[in-house]
Amino acid sequence: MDEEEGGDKMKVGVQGTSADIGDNNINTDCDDPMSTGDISVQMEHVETLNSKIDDNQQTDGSGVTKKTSAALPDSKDSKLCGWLHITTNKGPLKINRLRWFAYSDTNSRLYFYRNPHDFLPLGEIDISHATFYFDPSKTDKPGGFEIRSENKDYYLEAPDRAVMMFWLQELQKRRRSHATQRNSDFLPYKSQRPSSIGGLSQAKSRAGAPDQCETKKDNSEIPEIPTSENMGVRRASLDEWRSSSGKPSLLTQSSLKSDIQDVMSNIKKQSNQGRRSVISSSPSPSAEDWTLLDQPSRQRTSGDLSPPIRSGKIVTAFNKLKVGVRRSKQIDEPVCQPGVCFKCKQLQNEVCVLQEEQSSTEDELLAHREIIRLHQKEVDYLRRELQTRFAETEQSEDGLHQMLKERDKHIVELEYCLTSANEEKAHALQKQRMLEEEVKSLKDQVTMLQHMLQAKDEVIVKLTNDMYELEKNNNDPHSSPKPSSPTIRKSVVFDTDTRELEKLRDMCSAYELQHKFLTKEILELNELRQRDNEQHKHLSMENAKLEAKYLQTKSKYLYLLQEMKQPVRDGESSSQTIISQLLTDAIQSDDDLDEQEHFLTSSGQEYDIYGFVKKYDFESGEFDPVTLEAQKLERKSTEMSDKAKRQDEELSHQVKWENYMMAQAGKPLVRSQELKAMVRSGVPHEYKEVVWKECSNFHIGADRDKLGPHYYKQLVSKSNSSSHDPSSKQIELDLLRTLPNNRHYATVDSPGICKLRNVLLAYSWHNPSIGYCQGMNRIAAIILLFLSEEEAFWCLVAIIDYIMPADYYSKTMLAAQADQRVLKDLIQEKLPRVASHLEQYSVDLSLFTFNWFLTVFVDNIPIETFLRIWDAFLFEGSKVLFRFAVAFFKYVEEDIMRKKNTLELNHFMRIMGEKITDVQRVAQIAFHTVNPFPMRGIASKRQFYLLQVKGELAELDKIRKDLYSKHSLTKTHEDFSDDDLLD
Amino acid sequence: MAGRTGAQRPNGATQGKICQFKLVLLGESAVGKSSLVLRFVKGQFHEYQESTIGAAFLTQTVCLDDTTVKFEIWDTAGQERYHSLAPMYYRGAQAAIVVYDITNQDTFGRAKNWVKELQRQASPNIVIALAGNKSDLAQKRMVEYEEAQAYAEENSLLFMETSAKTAMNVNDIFLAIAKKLPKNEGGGPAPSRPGGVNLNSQQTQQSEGGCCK
Repeated sequence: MDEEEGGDKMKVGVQGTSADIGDNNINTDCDDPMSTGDISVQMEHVETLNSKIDDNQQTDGSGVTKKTSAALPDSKDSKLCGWLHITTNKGPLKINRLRWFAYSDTNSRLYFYRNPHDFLPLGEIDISHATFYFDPSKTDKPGGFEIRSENKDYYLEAPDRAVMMFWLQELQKRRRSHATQRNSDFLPYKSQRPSSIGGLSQAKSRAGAPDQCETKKDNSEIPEIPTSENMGVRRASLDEWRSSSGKPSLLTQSSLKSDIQDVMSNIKKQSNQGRRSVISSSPSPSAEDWTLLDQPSRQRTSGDLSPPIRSGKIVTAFNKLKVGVRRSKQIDEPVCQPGVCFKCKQLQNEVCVLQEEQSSTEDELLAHREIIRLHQKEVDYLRRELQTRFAETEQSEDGLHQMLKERDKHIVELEYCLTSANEEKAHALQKQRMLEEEVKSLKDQVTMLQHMLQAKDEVIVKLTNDMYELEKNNNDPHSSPKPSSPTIRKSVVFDTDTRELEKLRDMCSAYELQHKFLTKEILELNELRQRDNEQHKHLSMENAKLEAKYLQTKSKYLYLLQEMKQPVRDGESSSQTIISQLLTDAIQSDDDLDEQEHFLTSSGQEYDIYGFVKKYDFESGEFDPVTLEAQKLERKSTEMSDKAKRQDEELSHQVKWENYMMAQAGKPLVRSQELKAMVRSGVPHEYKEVVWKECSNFHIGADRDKLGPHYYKQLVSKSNSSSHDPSSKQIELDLLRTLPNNRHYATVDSPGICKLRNVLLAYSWHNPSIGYCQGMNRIAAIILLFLSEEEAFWCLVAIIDYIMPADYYSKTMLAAQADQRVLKDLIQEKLPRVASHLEQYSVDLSLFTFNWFLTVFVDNIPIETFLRIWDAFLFEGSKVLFRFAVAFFKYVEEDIMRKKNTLELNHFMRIMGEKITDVQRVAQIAFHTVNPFPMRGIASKRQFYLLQVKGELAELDKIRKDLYSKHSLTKTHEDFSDDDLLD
Repeated sequence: MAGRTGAQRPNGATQGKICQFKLVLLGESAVGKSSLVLRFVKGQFHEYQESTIGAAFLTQTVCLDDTTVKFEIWDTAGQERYHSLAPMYYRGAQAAIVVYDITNQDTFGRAKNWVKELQRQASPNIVIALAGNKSDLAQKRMVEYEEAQAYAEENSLLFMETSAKTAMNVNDIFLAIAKKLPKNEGGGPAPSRPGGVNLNSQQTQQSEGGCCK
């Protein structure tokens, strides 16, 4: 840029220095040149504003730089450019970047670049259709303004309000000028068009000639612009601007104001002049001073008229032009005269002579060479035109008529152009009016603000007076001890006034902010509402579908009933067929229903959150597809309605747990009544891990520490090294037979299998007297769904070694058997009806309940149900097993009472667990309905039955021993290994 | 409620007596007791049948020429420590299937023990069948058919090699048991042991019919 600053260019720097500073700013402080407040306006022409602007610049900090760089080859226009912050909305982010903005007059676009040297703009804003806006209330961003263009908002920010105003007014002017330019562009374009068609080159040459003259004049006159005159114009325009726009500017620093005004008036002037020169093409004295847009016009003409060929001969053409034209005109009249070529030759000879003459007067020609060059092409055209004209006239006169017609047509076209231009003009005027209105409204705003200020002042005055009065009143009684000077009080009052003012101002800005926020809020809410509406629509559609289905089903049902009601005529064929068709329908519709289900639950998986296969066809001994279907649907419906019913409850429960866990925050579990109640109502899925872990730790206590931190790892490595023992054999047999309907244990490669093996083997090594007992696999598998491998091991230890009574899983399962007798007693006690009913049909409930106790209810019982039992079981202990076992019987009491034979009862007992779907209800029964439930009673019963079972087992053992010893005498092998020996 | 349309109803007899029998399955762990029952009751087979804890109760009805036989099946756990529970299940049973795995000699030995115990402890007239399961795995055979056959004859047991996987002989063994059971009124002998299950009270009520169309 330094190179460009020669000769007639000058620069007014921010600090009143050379362009180097500006360049430095751009180059080095590219990230934040705004801090130096650099706005550059590049001008093509000389501006000797040096001294004055220097003065201004020195006084005000924020600089406005006028940069002139005439020699920029591709930017002949005056340039409006400078640094501005632009805020772009990219997704949710608002990015505020400093960009170099440059306005292009040719297409009325504001381009922005990363820095002024860039070639490719980062973006562009179409100014021709843009509207501008700024918010006076934005006190934090005084220089912020908005450009709305093509349905897009651009938030720009100038360093301060003055610069912003400069930009806005400048952009408005440019937009206006572009609009008029656009309109005027129609005329030259249309006038040129026919010439390109051919046959109207004369019109074109006529049109082109003044252009060229003007250009020539301009060229010659540019260097002669007197600086003093320039100054004069500037000043005058400044005054004019001031007087015309009586609007009190928002600027506070007068020096800056004047400076900006200066700059703006200059630009205004420039653009006005330039525009005028384009529109009217009439050179005026002022236009000569400011050839803002004349240069492009020259470019245009030269581009149209001068082909790249330049030969020495053609240079002379200009001189011949007039002669040629004249002669051709003479020729025009004798239309059919032959010997045209001869005359041409004569002319050429003449040209040769003239050429010789010209060479002698070369000095003189040099001065006109430029013009000649520009016109030479025209001459060529004319000549060619003449030739064709002659040929045409020779052929027929019709051509002339045609031409005339064409001209008429052309005239019409031109007229049309004129009207359209007029329309455009009217449009522009309207736009202007609109803009004026905008300005007016802004003015109104200002006056309003003034009024407000005035009102506030009044209030302040009033308040001050009040205050004064009050203070006076206050002081009066204490006048004797406080004769202090009124000036202090006055100052105090003044102080409070200013504070009040400040406060009011703050309030005002706060309100503005609030207004902004609320507007945004409204938009946001609107959007939300729209989204909700959509969802609502969607759901109601879904609902309608379901309702349709329901009604269909209902109609079928009624139809069926009607059919049943009718007396049987002609056999039962018709009703039979209808029923069978309905039955097939019912089974088929299941597929659709499944789809619906998938859709509704949205999870649509075949597994639940615990990894269990979702199944609805429980074992019920029912093989009739329709009945099975009916049962399945019934279960689904209860499940869904339960879920809907419990939603609120569950939510509050969840919140309770959240709060508790927050407070707990990793501390060891403390047993409290509150926690007990919470556990009883269920530990939410996400907290099960923590709670179960804490519970097992609580049961094991310090024993775990005694065994050391590596105890589990040692056990695992021990079990891996030596594989042959009866427990490991059985464990291997059972691994894949553990919860086979859970995907974590589905295949040999499933992650759960390996963990399960490790945990079970580790336990068999940890407690060899128990080793492995079928049932432990299910317990371990359930624990592993929630806990890590090692923690699961400890939880298993807690259950078997601590929570359950001794000998539960031992070789005789003594305690487990004893517990069944305890349970029988409890049923007798709590549910005598059930007990006697079962007694009546000789049903031994212990055959079914044994599994419940041994596996902690992981046995054909809904997952949610047994998990609830587990929560309480781990927290409270084995008494919970009795509570729930009794509750189960209570839950299905009526069902049991309805069964009237052994087989049915046995069968019902088998599927009884599946019926316990309402966790809430069963928990309610277990913890409230069956109370009192004293542990002491259970303990003493346990003691009693333990002895009883022990005795029976001893008897059995004796019999077996007897049997097998006899057997072993006769038979060869007898591996009666570990189990049947009582200890 | 009980099976109206037995998927596995081998015979289509229409009318006649309804007899109800308690049948217990015994045998070493993982020989296929549950699989046999599942095949018989539901016609299904799972490679990894969930290991039985305690015992499982199932029912199935078969129809002989003029008799409907209802089986009340107790499928017991195989692990040795559960054997102490076995008397609860075989007490009062009229029939028992002792199952062994033909690919495992130990399970055959265990089966013999069960036979002994049943003969000694269970109802005197109990019908015992010996099932050599997993006959589809004949290439891994460890227990010879003849050996088991001889043993069965010696102890007057019904004997079949079965396969729950291929369903071979599964229905047949149950049918054979049904045929061998005494069909006199009441369906079974009175319990021989004190504390046994008294079946008389409800078995007289079984004449309601309609359970087998």
